Amino acid sequence: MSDDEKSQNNGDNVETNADDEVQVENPFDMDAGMDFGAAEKRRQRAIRKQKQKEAEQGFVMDGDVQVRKIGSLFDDDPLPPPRPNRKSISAGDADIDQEDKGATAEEMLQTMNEMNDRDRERNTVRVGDKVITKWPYDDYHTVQKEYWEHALEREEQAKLKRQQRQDGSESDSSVSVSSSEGEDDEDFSLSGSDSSESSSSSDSSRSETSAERLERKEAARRERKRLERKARRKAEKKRSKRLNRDTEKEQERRRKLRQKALEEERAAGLHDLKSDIMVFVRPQDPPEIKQAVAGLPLTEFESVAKERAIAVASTWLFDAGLVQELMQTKKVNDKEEDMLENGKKKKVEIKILPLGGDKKNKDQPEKQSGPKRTKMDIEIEKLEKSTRAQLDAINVRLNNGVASSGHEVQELVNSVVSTKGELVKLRETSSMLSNAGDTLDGVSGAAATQTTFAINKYPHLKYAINARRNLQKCFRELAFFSEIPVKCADLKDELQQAEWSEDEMMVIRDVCKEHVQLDIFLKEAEAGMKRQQEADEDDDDDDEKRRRRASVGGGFKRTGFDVGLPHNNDEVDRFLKDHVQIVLELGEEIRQKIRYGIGTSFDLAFNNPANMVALVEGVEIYETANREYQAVHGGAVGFTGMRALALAELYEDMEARCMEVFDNLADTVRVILSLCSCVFVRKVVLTFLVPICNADRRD
Amino acid sequence: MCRFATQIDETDTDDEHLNKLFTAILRGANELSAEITFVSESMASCFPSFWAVDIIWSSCVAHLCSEQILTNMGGIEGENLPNLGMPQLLDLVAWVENFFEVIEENFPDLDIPTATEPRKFKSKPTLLSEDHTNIEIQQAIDSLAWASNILWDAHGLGMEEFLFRTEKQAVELLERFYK
Repeated sequence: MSDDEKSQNNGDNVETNADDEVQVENPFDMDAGMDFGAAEKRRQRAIRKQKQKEAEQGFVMDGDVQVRKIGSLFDDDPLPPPRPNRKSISAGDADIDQEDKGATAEEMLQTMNEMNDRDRERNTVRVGDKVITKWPYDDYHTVQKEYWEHALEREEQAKLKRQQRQDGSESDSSVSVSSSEGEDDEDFSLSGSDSSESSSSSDSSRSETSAERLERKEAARRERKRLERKARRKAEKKRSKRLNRDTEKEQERRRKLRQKALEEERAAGLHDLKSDIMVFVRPQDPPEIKQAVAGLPLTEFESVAKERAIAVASTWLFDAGLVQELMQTKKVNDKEEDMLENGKKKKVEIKILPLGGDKKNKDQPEKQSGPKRTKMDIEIEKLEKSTRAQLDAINVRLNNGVASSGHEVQELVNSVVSTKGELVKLRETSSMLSNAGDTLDGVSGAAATQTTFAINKYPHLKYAINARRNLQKCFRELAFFSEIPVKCADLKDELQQAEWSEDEMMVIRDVCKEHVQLDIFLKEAEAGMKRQQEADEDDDDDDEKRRRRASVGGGFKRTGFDVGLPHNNDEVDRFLKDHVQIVLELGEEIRQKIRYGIGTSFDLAFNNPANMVALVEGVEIYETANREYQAVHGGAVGFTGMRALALAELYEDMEARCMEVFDNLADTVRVILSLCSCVFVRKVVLTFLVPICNADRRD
Repeated sequence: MCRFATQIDETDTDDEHLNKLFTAILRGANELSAEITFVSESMASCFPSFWAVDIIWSSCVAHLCSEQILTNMGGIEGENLPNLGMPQLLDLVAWVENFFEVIEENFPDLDIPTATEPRKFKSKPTLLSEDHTNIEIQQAIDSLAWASNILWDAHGLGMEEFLFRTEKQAVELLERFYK
């Protein structure tokens, strides 16, 4: 064994003694059961016993020496202790002499001691004269190390104080390690800026040496660090506690929210109560705006709008697949709040735009900014766009409605004005009605007399009242009468222009209507003039009698009042002759057209049934007019035979059509027979023409 | 020309000419009777119902067809029927039956009296009223019934002639067979 090794062994022994001393005072003596010194002693004792046994039994080291760490806590040390030299302790070495047996055992023990020392050095920390075992699982040994450092500092400080007291110097209040103010003062004193300190403690500073001052400063710094660490640890503990508390609260809150939503949905019947898995059923689509507002009173508009908004939002959530997100994430709540805020803003922004929409807003592109957009954001944006489009459409319709209602209001005003005028006329007319109590007594007679005019008793006055109206009618009819030739010429032109056109029969029908009116007008004029003539003749007879009675007075003569008017039926006929002739000519032309149309009735009915129907209607117009005229006046209009003409023509046309078929066949057969009768022609035909015709047919 | 040429045959005789003429008449009658359906379905809807266009047309067709057939079959006694060929006889029978079918289809409610005077409508029937403003429906029905009876008589004669000839041919065949 060398001198160095011996000194190391001695050192170790010293250390073990020191360990014993430290362990007595150590409050963090977690390794109390692991007395390394005792273990070492036990180990040496065991070795000694082993040696004695070997000496007694003549032991030969031919096997592995079983070395066991006694009291070691580092079985799972990542750095395994170095193995003993196999060469040096190999038991299979046959060259070992019996004389060297004692020396080899000593070497082996030395090696083991070295090994143990190395292990100890590696797994221990020294603080002053204290040895702290490294804790393999955490940094507790560092805490112990700090503690012992601190304890050593305090011990040193206490020693210093005691020494100072012994030296007779007063204690320096500025060297209070625990006070932060003292530390600051100390710092200041170090910088040399505080002159008061130097002046007040001039005696003590003189007594202190520079080494002591340095030590004091070092101790103060350590104390400060310790306090900082303590405060940090405390704060960290508080923070973790708070975090735990917050998460518990949050979890509780979310659980309650989920429970509440679940109960609400169960109440709304959104999913099956029997199943634990939530199956959401898509809510029904809200009705369209047209149907929703149909017959909606204004007082219920707000509630219906709310229900519709809820329905729109719920269907949107379902369609966009946002129900789960809404149920499970808190984010939606924030988004909903944002939506509500945005909705409020947008509600304020909604206004009736001018016609054509708000072009400025349409032209401006929407800017998207902010953090990453989620699915909810995208869907909200889509919903917003669609809702805005609907609102724009409704806005445009409202504007159109307002614009159109202006016209309607104007029409209403005009109607009111015209109604007022009519009311005035009605009052004037009603003034002619007799009072109820004038003629008949009692209430029952009132209704009967209300329909009779008061001037019924005075026929001449009645004529006078109706004169104005009659005059207007007369002038209108005179104008119509004078326009008859022109009208007939126009109708003829119309017929000619429509000839061979697709709608010829429809034009004929229209012309028939006009012609019937003209015919009826002339008939009425003739009948009216003749009737008037007869009435005048009766009046003339009465006047003649009166004149004879009042021949003395001279009287009144009808001189030139009715000059130019016809005085008998012949004159009436002569007066109307030209016009009647013109109307008859037009009627003849129409008759020809109808006859032609009926003659082609098969083609018309097959190719253009509408024209056929129009032609028949034109024919029936005459019959209807004739029937009505007979009902009113008792006579007949000029053209009464249009249907007879049409029926006769149709019958003849059908017969002719049938005959045409047979005649054609007969002609064909006759030609064939005549050809057959001529032998030469027959041979020519059979030789040349028939083969050619047969060849053509085959082709 | 081709139409005429193809109908000429080297072996044409008078009877065959008569047969061809009769066949042509039956073909024409067939065309006309086919138009009854068209008139009652398409054309009558363009006219007021009291115009009775379909009945007029049917009456015309029946009258003219019966007249033509009677003329070519040798009057009401059917004197020319023995000269007609078997196909013509068959065509006659078939056409009359077809005509009655068409009338029944288009006028299912029309009650055609069977017992009418055969000579009553020898001349052209007057289907219009005196003032020609209305159709005498009853007159038209009577005309149709008369024509139908005539045609039914012709049908009977043709059938009789056909059976007679069939019987004759069968007898001849059997005689040949037994000889």
